[in-house]
Formats: sequence, structure tokens, C-alpha cells
Amino acid sequence: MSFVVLIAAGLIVPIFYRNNIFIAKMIAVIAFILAAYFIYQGNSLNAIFPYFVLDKATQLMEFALLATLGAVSLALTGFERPLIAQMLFLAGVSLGLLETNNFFIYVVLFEVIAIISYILVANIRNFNNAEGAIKAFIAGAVASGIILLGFALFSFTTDSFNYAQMNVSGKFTLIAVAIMLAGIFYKLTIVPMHGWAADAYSQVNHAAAAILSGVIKSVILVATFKAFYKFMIAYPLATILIFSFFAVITMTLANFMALFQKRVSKILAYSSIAHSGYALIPFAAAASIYSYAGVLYYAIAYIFMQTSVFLILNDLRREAGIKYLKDLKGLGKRAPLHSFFFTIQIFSLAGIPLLAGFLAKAVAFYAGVDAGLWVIVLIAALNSALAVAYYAWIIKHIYFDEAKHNAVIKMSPGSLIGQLILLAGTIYFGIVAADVINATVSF
Amino acid sequence: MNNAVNVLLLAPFIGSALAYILGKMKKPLAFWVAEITGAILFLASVVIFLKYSDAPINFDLNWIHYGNITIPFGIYIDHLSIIMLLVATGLGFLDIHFAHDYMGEDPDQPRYYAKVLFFIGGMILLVVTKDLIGAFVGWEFMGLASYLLISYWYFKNSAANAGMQAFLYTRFGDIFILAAIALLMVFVGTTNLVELNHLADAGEINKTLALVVALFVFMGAIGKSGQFPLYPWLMNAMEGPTTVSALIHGATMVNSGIYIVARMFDFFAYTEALFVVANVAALSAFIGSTSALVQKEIKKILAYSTMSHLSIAFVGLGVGSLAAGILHLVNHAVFKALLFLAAGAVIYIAHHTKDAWKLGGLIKTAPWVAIFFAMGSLSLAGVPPFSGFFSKELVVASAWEWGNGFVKTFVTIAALLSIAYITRLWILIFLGEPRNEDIAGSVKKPSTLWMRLPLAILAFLTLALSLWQDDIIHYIVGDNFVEPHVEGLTVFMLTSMFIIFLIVVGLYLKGLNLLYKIASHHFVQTIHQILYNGYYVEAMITWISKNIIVNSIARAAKWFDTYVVDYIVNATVALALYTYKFFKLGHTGRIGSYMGQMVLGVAIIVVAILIIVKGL
Repeated sequence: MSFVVLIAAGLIVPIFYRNNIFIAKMIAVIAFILAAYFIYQGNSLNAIFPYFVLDKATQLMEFALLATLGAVSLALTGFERPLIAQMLFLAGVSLGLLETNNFFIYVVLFEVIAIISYILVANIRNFNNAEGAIKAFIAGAVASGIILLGFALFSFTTDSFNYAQMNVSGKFTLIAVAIMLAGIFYKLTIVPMHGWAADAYSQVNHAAAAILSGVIKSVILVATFKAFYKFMIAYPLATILIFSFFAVITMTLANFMALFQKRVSKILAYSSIAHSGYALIPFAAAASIYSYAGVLYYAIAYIFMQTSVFLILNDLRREAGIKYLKDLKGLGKRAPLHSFFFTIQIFSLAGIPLLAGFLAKAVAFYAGVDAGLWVIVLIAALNSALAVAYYAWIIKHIYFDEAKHNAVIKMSPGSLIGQLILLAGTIYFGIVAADVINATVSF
Repeated sequence: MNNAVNVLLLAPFIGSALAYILGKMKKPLAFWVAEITGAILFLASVVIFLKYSDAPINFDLNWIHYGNITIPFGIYIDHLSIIMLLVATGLGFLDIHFAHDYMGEDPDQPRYYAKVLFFIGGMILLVVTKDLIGAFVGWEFMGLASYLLISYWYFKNSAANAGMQAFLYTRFGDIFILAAIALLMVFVGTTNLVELNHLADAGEINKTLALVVALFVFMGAIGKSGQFPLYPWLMNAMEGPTTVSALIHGATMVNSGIYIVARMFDFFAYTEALFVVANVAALSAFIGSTSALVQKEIKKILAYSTMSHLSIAFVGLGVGSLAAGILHLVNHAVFKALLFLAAGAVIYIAHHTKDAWKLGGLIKTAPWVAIFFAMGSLSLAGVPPFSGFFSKELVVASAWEWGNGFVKTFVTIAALLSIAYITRLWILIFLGEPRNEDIAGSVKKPSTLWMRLPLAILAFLTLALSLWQDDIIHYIVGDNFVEPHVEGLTVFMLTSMFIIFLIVVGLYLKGLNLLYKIASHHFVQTIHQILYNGYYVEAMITWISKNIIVNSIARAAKWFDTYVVDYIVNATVALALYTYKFFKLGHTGRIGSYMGQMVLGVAIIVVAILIIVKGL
């Protein structure tokens, strides 16, 4: 039912958003709330189609997803308005991707999300947008090809695509899965498939970047873990080697790259890539019983904080043309509300305790330790410490430098409500850990 | 009942945020949000009190439970908690009500009410949690609120400094509590306060370890409850608004040290740390009561008397009588809140004059305030039939029955001296002629609803509580209460108090000239200086921290930091830059090279897999 509501709202919204964006936003928000209600009732895609299962962990992820998308849609204005309809479709498809227990559907919906993300970035207003969009598109097209190649190989060897009944011991399975993973790594922006992301995230409209880097990545993260869980259990050595290797090079490279950037969006883009690296640790630790909790916690924490920072940056760029780090100087006085939200979410990204980012890292790293990956966790911890350098550098610019301009930047009510929702998520999941952990017990 | 608990835990924080946000929109709303929240909290406490059946309310919750990491966060409400809840929320409500006028002229009210509600939330959290960790969180919430409220008028240098001082002094004690938590976590495996008491009763904890833990916890209590040697912050805390002094530094927060010792009473008794508690407290009681004799500021006199009376309650606990300690805590909370609020009324009508020597003759303009102040004073002095008499008698009798000579002597002196300083204060404020022309002409009248009513309620309470003294005792300790019997103690106390009273009245009403003569003597002057400066403990602590900590240890650390750590850190910048330049080679901005890297990635995976497959 929730799927139907979201898609229907997605079809209705385009009628309104040109004339009356308020009605469009309200429809979207009501659709998100209704969808959340139906999910709470256990009435999602599983009520309509087979191949979909709605368990507690999935529900939790979907609530986070819908809350975030609701927050984003409240914050949009101007030429970003087509995003509202696209987000409704995205939400519907994401529900499917999260709930499915069928590998075939996973691959198909993954491609659908890829297509939606091309449409998201296709909101082109200037040369930079165009460059980012093209990069995202070409990289995505290549990745799709790689995924389909891997999937084709895999489909030779298995009798069933049901997650539980898949034949994972076939001759080509390992190689097929590896190729598929390479394609999926593109979406998760794992080094060396990250090049497009560093450019696209910082060049496309920041609202679209918020959805690309925050929402879509988190959804893919959880869905991929569920889809590949059986393989990861079946081939422990390959799992540990591949994921650990990519986790380490991803976070290390991204953190060093972020250190010397001058564009704020580029810093955030690289920080997003670095976070993909941390999020791979529970994948590597799939053998641990805490791995799913690690992935889910990381996705939930990440969806709130990453979306929030890009949305604030979107506001700041639209209202005051802020692009570079030096433009942030003295922002604490010019835009106290923006600075407040930005600071908290940045702290969360850096992993300061009592915020979701910290517990997410703690749980994910714990899974790594549990699986015996001491070294990887140690490298990740060192990397987190390194990352604080550029996060703190942003905060330093906001609060401890004198402003060049004194023009006050106001926050629109929609944006404020959106940010409050995201902040609530970051703080709630930073203090109450039991929800996520208990939800993953049965996995 | 569970709803009431939820309300108690959540309402203060919600109210705090609401008071700030709504207050920013429309100023009077801040007060009303606070007033309503205060009323709701008090009602919730009353509901818990009325509905309480024999078994304590007990929830075993975990904050984080993950793998072998568990951080418990249980809720445990028994009789002791309920009494503390009633005191905290009841006095909190009256205090907020009183602030309507007292803080009425302040432009920054939303901030004030938000902080006060936050403080009440911390206090509630402290008294309802089951674990030392939860208690520590509430403890720190209160510490933060106390810091914020002392330096509420942050633009005044003295207030900002006093806030900082309070924070540092109490933090010093808090670190020991943190250490105690760590010790318990590692060696005992639980921080559950109830369980700790059971373990102590059964004798299943290593006694040395338990002694260290108990002393560490008591160190935190020393900081929070203003005991020797960490008391100077309490006197300087009087820089905050008087309503804050009444609630936080008179009636509730300073009690938390006593509460935590009472909560872990069996544990303390088992370790014999109570011996330390009794002796430190007796010394503090003596210091507080003697220093209170010579202070000039109204609030400082009350602050020293607070210290002295908290110590008397501690002595009650220390000599092994839980009932005496808690009974005095409750009575003291009520009459000290009354005294502070009445002092607030005096300060308010006299245009924020805090020096008692500048006032005088106020009984003509504010007779009711004078009467309520007198009732509070009598209770503090321990004159029957006011409630203070019963609890103070009980503590002193317990000390005579079970304490050593040191405790006995000092606590008796402290108990007797309270009548001296409070009578002196009352005479200075209300009797005689106005000593300052400016103030005398412009004294305001206190309003009935906002100032006299809360005072009247508290004054009535301090009288009415004496009817329920036995009930409170049995409520706390059940039926196994052993009453100390000391022949002739009451007569001795009352006679001595009467003599002291006569001396003070004679000196301050009729013999001011004689007093001046005595005071001008060099020897008396020296003693006066020592007492006035609180035995120079603050100077001593400042000297130690300045000369030993700041100028030697901190300086060495700074040198190490500047020349060793910074050098290494600076060196890593170049390294990071090289790494960055190396990584940047791959980041050309051309989509073609990205695709090349992607293919490289696929190749890495495939080759790795092939190697693994071959290896397998």
C-alpha cells in the first residue's frame, strides 16, 4: 500500500509544482507520512507482490528514509521543485529494493534507482551541473554494464533467485559476484570507482547531491548487504580480503583528498566517499553476528547527517553564493541557524559521541573487531581521527574567523522544519542505540 | 504510575526547550511555560507518592546493550527517591513562581527559565536512576545548569568567574565519581546502586576496593555539597540570581551529595567510609558556622549556613543514622529555601542591596517578610516547635551516642552557633534604624501573590513538618529505627542557645559600641579576617593550583606540547601533502581516466578472485 501511495503522489505532484509549490510539498509530505503509517502496519509491497518481506530492520531503515526525504522535500524551492516528484518515485523504488528477497528484483530495482538518479542530476542550470550530470551518467552506464555482466554469469549457475535458496556454490559464482560487486561499488563510491562521485557530488545541484550521496547510498548499502549476505558467508576469505582492501584504500584516499580541498562541496563529497569506506567494514566482518547491525546503523546515521549537510550547503549557496571554504568565514554570526545545524551534523560525521555518527562507527567497528579484523578497525579509527582535521577546519571557519560580509542569511520555515527532522534523527540515534540493535537480532 | 515516571523524566527537558523558544517569541510565555511545567512535575511526584505501594518502582533498562558492551540505565524509585522528588519538584515549583517578580525586570527571561527547568530535569534524573552511570549523567546535568545559572549575568566579571569556579571545583570532585564508576565496572561488574548495597550487605566485595570506591564517591559529594575543602565555590555562587541560590545552592542540588551517600548507605557502612564522612562533615560544619558569624552579605551568611547544615546532615549519615541525615536534609531544604527566598524578597524590595549592614528597619515596610524570615530563622536555629529543632536534635544526639569526640564537639558547636548568625542577620536586616539613606527612602512593597504566597507556604511547611517528623523517619528507614538517647542533651542545647541568643541580641541591639570596641582589637581582627575569608581555603587552593599545577606541571606539559607534539604534527602536514599530491594524480577530472580506474578496479577484483579460486 505504501508503494502505491508514493507512486500515486509522484504522479499527482507534477500537476502542482509549477503553480503552487506549497501544495506539492504538502502532498509529498502527506504521502511520506501515509507510507510510513502503512509500513508501520506491515502493509507495504509485501501485501501486493510476492518476493517482498517486511521485517523490523527494514521498517526502521524505511522510516529513516521517508523522514529524510520528507525533510528534503520541505526544504526545496525554486528550480529544485521537480525533485519532489522524483523523490516520491525514488521512495517507492527504495522501499522495493529494501524489502525484496529476490536477487533478480534487486538487480532490476538497482537499475531503476540508477535511472532515477540520472534524472535527479539532469536538473541542469549551468556548465558545472552539466559536467557533473554527464560524469554520473557515463560512470553509471559503465557500471550497469558491469553489473549485468556479472548477473548474467551468475544466472547460469543458480536455480533460484530467492536470497535464501540461491545456489552459491556454482562454478562461476565467485567470479560473477565479484564482477557484480565492482559495478555496485560504483554506486557506493568505492575507490577506484569513485572518480565520478567526487566531481558529480560537488558539481550537480546540492539538493540532488544530498539525495545522491545521502539517501541513495544508504539504501543501496543496506539492500546490498542483504542481497550478498549469503555469498559473503559462503566465501569468507574472499569477503574479508576484497572488502577490507577496498575499505582501507577508500577511506585513506578520500580522507587525504578531502584534507586539501578548497570547495566545501568537494570536502563533503570526499568525506562521503570516506564514509563508504567505513561502511564496508561490517561487510568485511559479515561472519560476525553484529555485521547487519553495523551496516544498518551506518546507513541510518549516514542518511540523516549527509543529507543534512548538503541541504544546508544548498541553502547557503542559493542565498549567499557560498562555495568555497573562505566564504564560510564568520558564518556563525551571519547565519546562526544554518551554522548550528551544520556544526552538529558535521560533528556527527566526524563521530563525536552522543550523535548518530559516533554510535554508527562504534557499532560498525565493533562488528569488525568481533570478526577479528583488528588491523582494519585500527586503520579506520586512525582515518576517523584524520577526518576530524578537515571537519574541525570547517567549524573553525564558521565560528572563529571574521566575516567579510555582514549580510544576514535567513532560514526559510520549510528548511528549518526539514533540518529539525534531520537533527532529531541524528540525536535520537546518537543516544538510543537499542532500536537498531534489537531490530537486527533476528537476521 | 509509569506515566508519571515518564512525565518526570521528559517534561523538564521539553519544558526547557519550549520555555526558551516560546519565550523568544513572547517574553511572558517563558514564565508561564516554566510555571506549568513545574506544577506538572510536582503533581507527577505527588501521584507517585500517593500511588506508591510497598515495592519500589523498578525498571531494568539498558542504554546500550551490544555484544559484551552494556551500559545500564535503570529506573529505581523507593521512599528515599520519592522524598527527594517531592523536595526537588515542590521547591522547584515555588521557586519558579517566586521568580515571576524577582526576575521580572530581567530582559533575558527565556534563558533563565530554560536553564532552571533543565536543572530540575537533572535533579530528577539523579534521584530516580538505579545506576551510578545514570546518576552521574544527572549529576553532570545539574553541574552544567549550576554553572550556567551562576554566571547567568555573564556580563558581570564576578558572576562569570564564580560560574567558572563552581564548575572547576565541582568537576574536580566529579572526576573521582567517574573513577569510581570505572573501578566498579572493571572489578565488580556492576554500577547498580541497589545491587551494590546488596553485595555490601552480603560482604561479597573486596573491602579495600569498596573503601576506595566509597571515598571516591564521597569526593564527588564533597564537591557538590560544599564540604571541606571544596566549599569556596558555594559562597561565590551567590553571584547568581537569588532564586537560583535558593533552589540550587540552598535547597536541592547541594543535597545531591547527601543523597548519593544515603543511596549507597549500606555500601558506605560496609566499607567504614562513614567514619571519614562524619569527620570531614563535622569539620565543615564548624568552618561553615563560624565563618557565617562574620559575613556581611546576606546571601553569603546563608551560604555558609547552608554549608554548615549540609555538614550536619552528613554527620547524621556519618555516625550511622540514615534517618537523622535525611530528616535534616528535608527540613533544611524547606527552611533554607524559605530563608533564601525571603532574602530574595528583601534584596528585591531594597533594589538589589546585598550588604546586610546597609539595610535595617525593614520590619516597618515588609512586616510579613520579616515574620516569614523569622520563622525560617527559628527553624534553622533549632527552636521548638519548628521542624529544624527535631532533626538537629536527632543528629546531635546521634553524634553523641555513636560519634567520636571530634565529631561530637564540632557538630555541637556548629548546631549551637546557628542561632547566633541567623539572629544577627535578622536583627541587621529588620530591626534598628535604616543605615543607608538612599535605600531607606525607596523601599518597595513585595507583592502578595508572587512573593508573600510562596514564602507563606514555605513558612507554614517548616512549622507543619514538625508534625510529621516521625512519619518521615519511618518512611525512610521503616520500623527498625533506633532512637539515640542522650540524657539532658535537649536541655543543654536549649539553654546554651538561649544564652547565645541573649548575647547576640544584647550586642547587636543595645551594645553596638561594645561590639565595635571588641572588634577593633588586633587579635579579634585577625580571627575576624580568618573567619571572613573562610579559613583561607580558597586562597590555599588557588595557590596550589597556580603554583604547583599551572606554573610547573602545566608549563612543562605546554613545553612538551609546543616543541615535541607540535613539531611532529607539523611534520605530518608535509607528509599529508605528498600523499595528497600522489592521490591527486588519479583525479584528473576526465571521465575517461575515471573509467580507466573503474576497469582497473574490476581487474583487481577479478585477479584477486582468480588467485583465491586457484588457491582454494
